[in-house]
Amino acid sequence: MNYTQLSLDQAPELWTPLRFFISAPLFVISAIILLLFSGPDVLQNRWLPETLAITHLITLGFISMVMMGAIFQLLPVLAGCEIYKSKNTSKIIHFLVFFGVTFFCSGLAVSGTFLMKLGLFFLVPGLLVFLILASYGLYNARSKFASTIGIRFSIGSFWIALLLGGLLAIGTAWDSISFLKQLTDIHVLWATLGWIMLMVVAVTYQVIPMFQITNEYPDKFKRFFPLLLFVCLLILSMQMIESYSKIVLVLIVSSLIIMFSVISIKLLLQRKKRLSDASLYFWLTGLISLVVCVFVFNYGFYFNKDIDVFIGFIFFMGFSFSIINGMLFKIVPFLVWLQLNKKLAFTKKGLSSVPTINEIISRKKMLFQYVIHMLALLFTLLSFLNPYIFFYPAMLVWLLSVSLLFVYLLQSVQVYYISLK
Amino acid sequence: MISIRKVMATDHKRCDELYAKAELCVSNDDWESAQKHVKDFVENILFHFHQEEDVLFPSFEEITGMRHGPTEMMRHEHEQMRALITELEKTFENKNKDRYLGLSETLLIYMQQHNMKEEQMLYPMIDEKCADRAEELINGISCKINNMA
Repeated sequence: MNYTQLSLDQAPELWTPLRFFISAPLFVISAIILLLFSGPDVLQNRWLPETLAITHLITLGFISMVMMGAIFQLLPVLAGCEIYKSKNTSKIIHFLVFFGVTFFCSGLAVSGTFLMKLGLFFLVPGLLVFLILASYGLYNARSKFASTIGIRFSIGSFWIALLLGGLLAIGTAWDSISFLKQLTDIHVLWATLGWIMLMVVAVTYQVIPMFQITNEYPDKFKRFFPLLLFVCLLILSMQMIESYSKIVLVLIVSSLIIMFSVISIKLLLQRKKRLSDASLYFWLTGLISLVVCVFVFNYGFYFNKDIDVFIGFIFFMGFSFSIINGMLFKIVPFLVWLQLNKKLAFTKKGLSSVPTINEIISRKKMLFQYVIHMLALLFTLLSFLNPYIFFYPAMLVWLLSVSLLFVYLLQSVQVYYISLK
Repeated sequence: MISIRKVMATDHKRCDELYAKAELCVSNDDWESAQKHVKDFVENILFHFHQEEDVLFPSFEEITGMRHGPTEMMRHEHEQMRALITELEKTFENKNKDRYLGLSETLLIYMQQHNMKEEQMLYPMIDEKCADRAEELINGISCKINNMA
């Protein structure tokens, strides 16, 4: 075994992950503005052009954008490897994905094939470069532990989701293949339960026990969950193509996800770090949303109800967004601190000149944004019951919540440059 | 067979719990109890660094011949944490609650990133490379850890 290539440096250049984190909220803000212009009808049908655009602004623009940044940051820490020439490749990937999502989603929203094609011209190479480099990094990774295994399956799922999504998008933009609902469902399956879910699980395995000081996840569960879920997704995909009954598989996948959520919530409630903060509340909100999402999905599945947009809302905004929002409040101030510490701690200014992470984004600010986030979730839930009263207030509260997140992240960067002066 | 990884990861957990006790006392303005818990945490974490720097890392370096590899990086991170801990103690003496909680939260994240790397990579490497001396190393470390506990 060659250990000399092992990368244990925990600090890639500040902007390597940060450019992904900082730009991600802009896409959610765009999605909210699009929602405000489209009106409450968007909540009723997942196939509307605006709904497709909004979904991709959130999934690619926010969730995937942050998760790609996190991979740049996490691989050295979790797996002892790094993305090839991360300082430069992160710029290229970010540039391509940023403009790719912008053009592609604009194209989806206005059903404009030129914009869609332009978007795909940036987006597909951007995601491919990311996937090739992440897969290469993971191929060389030394760690055989559950988190690295989870990230591998997550990246594997992203490959499948991109392949299918790319096919569908190229088919739509060039009008060359007929619109296949089954293919779309399989694409959604791999993007949500594969790429997003498995990445959250892999990160959670490490982050909850370490940052909240809890017991570890049960060893066997931790090890087999990613593999089992991945195999279930493979079989489900085949069943979707052949239109076989999916009842057993849906039951297994639902049970797995409920088990993961319940174990995580139990660990959090029994945590040894009793001082709670917004990040903890975001975790709990995300995990509870995931449980709700599974029940709502099963209700729709067994009773044949068309509640896809509602399920999507709980999965993307209740589960994924909550957890990512909470994590950004931990990661971004820490990255700023880490770089400042590197530059200032052993100079005349000394460690006392480096602001702590609570001074970079205060606990009060984070709690305030959490409360607004909860209000936004609540108002959106109500707008599914009565869209004509609650839809616009819900969107305005979302606008406030995500703008606050964006501003706080920007302020962290401002603290960095002010402290260096 | 018990591994160096398991012994050291358990000790990380023990230090984490001491950290949490100290943090809780300070956040509740219970400075009297905090005195003991902060001292416990600081003594134990520094002792853990010594175990690694004086026992584990030299054995690994001797066997692999690698003195500028992962152990050097871990030593460097120990230094960073020692500086944070010194600052933390100063802040504790001044009873500056907000600064203490900010520093301790910062230390926690730094410490956990460091622990992740040790538990996921360095300890398994030590287990692999120092297999012949594992018992001797574990006995030495366990004995001292038990004394501290």
